[in-house]
Amino acid sequence: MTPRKILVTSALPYANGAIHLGHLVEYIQTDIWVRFQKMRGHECWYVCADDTHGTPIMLRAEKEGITPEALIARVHGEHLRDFTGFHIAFDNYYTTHSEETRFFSEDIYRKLKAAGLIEVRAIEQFYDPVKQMFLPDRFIKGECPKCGAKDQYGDSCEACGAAYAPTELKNPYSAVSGAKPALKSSEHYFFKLSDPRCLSFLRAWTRQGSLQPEAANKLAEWLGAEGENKLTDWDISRDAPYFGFEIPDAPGKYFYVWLDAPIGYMGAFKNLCAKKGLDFDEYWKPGSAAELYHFIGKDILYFHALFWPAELKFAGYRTPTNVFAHGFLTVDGAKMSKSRGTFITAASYLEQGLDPEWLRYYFAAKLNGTMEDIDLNLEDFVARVNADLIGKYVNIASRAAGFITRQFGGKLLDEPFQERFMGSLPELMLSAEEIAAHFEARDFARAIRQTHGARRPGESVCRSSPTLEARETRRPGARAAHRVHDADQCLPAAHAVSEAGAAEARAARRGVFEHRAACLARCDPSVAAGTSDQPLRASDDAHRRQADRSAAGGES
Amino acid sequence: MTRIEGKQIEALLAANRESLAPAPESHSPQRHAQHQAQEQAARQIGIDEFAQVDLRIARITAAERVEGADKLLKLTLDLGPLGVRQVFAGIKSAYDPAQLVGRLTVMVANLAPRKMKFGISEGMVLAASDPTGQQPGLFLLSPDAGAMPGMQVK
Repeated sequence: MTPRKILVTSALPYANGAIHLGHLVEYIQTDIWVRFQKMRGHECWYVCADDTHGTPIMLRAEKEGITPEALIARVHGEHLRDFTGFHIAFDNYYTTHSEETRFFSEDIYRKLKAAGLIEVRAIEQFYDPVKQMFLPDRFIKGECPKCGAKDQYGDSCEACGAAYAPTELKNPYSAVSGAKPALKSSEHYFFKLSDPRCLSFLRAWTRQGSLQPEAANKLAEWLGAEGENKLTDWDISRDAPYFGFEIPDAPGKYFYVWLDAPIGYMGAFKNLCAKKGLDFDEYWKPGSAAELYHFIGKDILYFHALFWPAELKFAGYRTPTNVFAHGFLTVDGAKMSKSRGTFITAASYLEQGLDPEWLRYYFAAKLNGTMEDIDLNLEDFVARVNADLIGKYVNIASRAAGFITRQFGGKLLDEPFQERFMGSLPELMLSAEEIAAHFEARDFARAIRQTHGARRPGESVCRSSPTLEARETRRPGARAAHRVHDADQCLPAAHAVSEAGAAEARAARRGVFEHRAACLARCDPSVAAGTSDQPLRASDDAHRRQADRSAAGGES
Repeated sequence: MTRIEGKQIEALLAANRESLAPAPESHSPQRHAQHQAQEQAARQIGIDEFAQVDLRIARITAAERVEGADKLLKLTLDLGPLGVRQVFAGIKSAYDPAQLVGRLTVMVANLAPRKMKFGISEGMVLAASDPTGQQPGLFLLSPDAGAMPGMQVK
């Protein structure tokens, strides 16, 4: 297999709030996928950053009596602490408030301007007469102009998914002061997404065939039928007072989120390149052979699959290979709620002493690569983790570990035996490839289910048991090995009584994998990446495939 | 790795319920949190149930930040004849401790003391906030002029 070059991002969390379990769906999903790619031997980089600019940050810093820089530095520390606590292994977790991001923001802006895709227009925008400032889209709320849902933000509706301008909202109000906002005129900068060049490019880009089916449908709807042009120009500027990057040659005007936050992906990678000696252009030049994937929530699909590719295309960069959208998290079938205590922060989960692997496993078992919402049912969470992860997997791994230590001096399979063992398990090998394909397709739920199934073929080949081998070649007199051997020989019949001897025999047979799987469950990246100094044939392809199956945090 | 105990989940929910102050909303257009459903109308209760809650006027005699706590302030409350209480309140996001000292507010005086990470909390102060978390802000209750520490609120 030729190693692929892959750059992966998760959406940028905003530096104005704590990481909660809803966020973690995405970071855990991405992290599992990235670990999988790395274990397959690909060059895969995972970058992310805090999204640090905007009015909310400015207002909050003001309220706390600190500078925005101090606020975002503190929040960056908290976010990274929380992600690290859940074993999210970024190659770089950066900030959009960086010189790299500023460089690419200005660069992309200048190139879009040169291409005739930037336009300045005076627009009327909502102004908070009490707070005396223009209001960001998300500080204006009202009823969705399309479906009438109440309390929707000024840029898109969470109930029906419609995207619109804040001025289209019915009964708008300021989320800062509660006052009814007034329209006031000011010059703004626009990216002309409605330009025919963007439209024809996006029609082609969205039909490349690899998008998730639900995403492709949504995008087709947003683009409209052939001959229609439903795209609108996007406002990329904000007036002072604002915390962000000033637009070149436009004093008092700042880049709005569309021209800095996603560019943070590039900034974070550029920063990583400097640390690791990587070639930035190899990943970002047009026609790059490297792959670029954005993991996002479905709420920001419009932006990542329309605006962002067009922005990159006409600024002379490569476009994403694909965009992977996931659904929202519900807890016990309902939206997360502070009063019910189900708006659970990552920090509180860790502070309460809950094991992050439990949540990683549970989310993995629920994620299927579609945009469907996933539910954290707390009762099911407890039952599933206790039964699958602890009752089966950890139990067997711990038995195997004890057995291997007692009977085999802590050593695992010999190389020649390993080959024979693999050769006699064609079904398992076939399964491993299928399971890998499920991981590749982000169908972790199916990968886990099939991992259950893949264990069974092993039980029918008891005659080539490593315990038998061990008994004959190493410890002929060991009583435990006798017992295990006997149980093992009649394993098909001894299914019901397999707990004592046969489980150990199975465990030993799988010992080499279980050990790796156990390491993966702990998410020790050095072991997961095959660089451990454990007595493993870490480079062995079969091990790797087997380990791949466990990338979600272990088979169950 | 060990089993999950049901009580760990209960503690987790309690920990996320305990704070009066909702975490600031993530308003990022690039990525934002799920928003909560409107809470169902509260269940009705009788006057007797309400009377079980002993609400008292308290004077904040000291307020300080709590090291390691993102949301909490440690308040010392004077209840007049009922003595002095220490309460941890999740109002750090909304109030500067210095502003609070000397002012009167309302507290639940018969709330069972609760051991928190930072010490024992002997009651709670009352503050208003949007239950959906969509409107920012947190507003401590104050009695009209003339109320004295220890007076009952009913």
